[in-house]
Amino acid sequence: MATQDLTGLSIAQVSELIKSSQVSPVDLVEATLARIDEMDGTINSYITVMEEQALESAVDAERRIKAGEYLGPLHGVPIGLKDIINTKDVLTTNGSNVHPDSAPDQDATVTRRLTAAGAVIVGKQGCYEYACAPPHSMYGPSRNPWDTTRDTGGSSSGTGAAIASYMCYGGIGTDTGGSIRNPAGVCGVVGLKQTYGRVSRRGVFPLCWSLDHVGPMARTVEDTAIILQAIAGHDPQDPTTVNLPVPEYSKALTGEVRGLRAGVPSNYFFDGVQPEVERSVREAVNVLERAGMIVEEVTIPNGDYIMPAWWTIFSSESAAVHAQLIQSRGADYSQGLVNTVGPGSFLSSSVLFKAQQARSVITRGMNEVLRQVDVLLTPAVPMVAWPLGDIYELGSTVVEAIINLAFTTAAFNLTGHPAISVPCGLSSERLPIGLQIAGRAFDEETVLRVAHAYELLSPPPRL
Amino acid sequence: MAESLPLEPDVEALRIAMDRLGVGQLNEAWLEGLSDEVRVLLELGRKLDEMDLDKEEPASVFVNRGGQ
Repeated sequence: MATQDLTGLSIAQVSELIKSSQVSPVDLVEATLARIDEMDGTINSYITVMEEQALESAVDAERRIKAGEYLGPLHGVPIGLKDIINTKDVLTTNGSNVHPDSAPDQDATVTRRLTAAGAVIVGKQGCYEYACAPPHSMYGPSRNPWDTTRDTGGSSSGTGAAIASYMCYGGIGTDTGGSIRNPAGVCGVVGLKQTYGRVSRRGVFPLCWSLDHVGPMARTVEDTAIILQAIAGHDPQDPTTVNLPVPEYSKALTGEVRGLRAGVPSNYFFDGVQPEVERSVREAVNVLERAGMIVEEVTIPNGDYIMPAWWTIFSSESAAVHAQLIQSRGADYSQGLVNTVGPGSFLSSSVLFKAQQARSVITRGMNEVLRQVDVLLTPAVPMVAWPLGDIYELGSTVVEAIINLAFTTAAFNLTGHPAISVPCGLSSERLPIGLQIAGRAFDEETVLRVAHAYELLSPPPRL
Repeated sequence: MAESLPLEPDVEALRIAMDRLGVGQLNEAWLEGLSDEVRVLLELGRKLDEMDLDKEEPASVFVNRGGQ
């Protein structure tokens, strides 16, 4: 099979070929490395390509599969990691000038779980500086494969761009206010932020402890479910993970949505959304309704307070995370990063606790809405990919820019509910648009089920 | 309901704070921009004063599982 044919397949497709020995993991890794070599000079999605380690892992996978030790659908499949996720003895920069040559002495839990499932880690992907401010000039921005003059979204920028341009089969991003769903939305791939507590954050550089999620990105919903299956579950080393059984996610992908109830918010989620984005998302709702979903309008309680609460918690926690490092290495922080994590130092603890009180009220309200309906359908990103480097043009301050960009996604970081971005068409400029599907806490199955059914009904555009 | 009244630092206070943090880029335009960021953040915090939160427990990540 030709290299391009191989890299264009999904995880579900290549895993069948590997399992039946029609394709070797070595062929797959070589094809992926060739694709990176061909494309990444333009896209700039990788900070580190782990060529030698990936080939060694592929040889090992081939040997084990031949010996009858097939580990499952990720065995021998090239996967990328956002570069704030620790990889033992491999450069992990956090997208920052502060750690230009840092190699952790342990894998993150998600890294360990992926490799235990047989995945081949093919490289570390570019991201916003500390998953927060736009990419550091040391690494430069990733470029959107749909239009290389446009942004990839962030902060899991390289992961979104690499998956969209077939430079890996899937990846792991992190999401504090939308950093998985945002690049997924504007790069035309799938990104899931599962329920807070479902996936371990251990070994991932924090941005905000109570808002951070580590989750899967891929080209299809089925592939996203396969990656989630490998990384989900309680981790004694992350006290925020919850000790609940992990369902078999592939069983949820029935293709059937008849009788499920969907809520379309009448407030908050469509405020200020670009008309083309709103049109595509409402058409996606119509597609699901025609397939038998029961669609109703819902009101999100306390919508006006979602971003004030999220930003207050974000600012306070990120300021605390960076307090020590900024004192020793502040000169190496970009101005954008200081503007984002610095202001939280001036907040009083009483304001933070007020935001945490508001979070209780907002979460309770969202739970009540999600008792009436099984899922919420909203835009994933309020706009299509913007011109490269213009993120601060999206508002008159950093705060405004991030609120304008992330209010649709950050709501579910505040409440912890699972939410996925799935492609729902292209704009008139052929830029991807994402549909966000959010569900009840720890009910990733229904979120994946609806996303998968939508994907079958309306296959995503591909490059 | 008590209002949140954190102090809004002026540019000079920010200059001192950033200098103490070792941040190296202390030009006027940037400090004024940072001052705007702080102002908007404090305004957002004050927005929460509109909510009736007196009887609410704050969301918390602290759970003592007794070593389990």
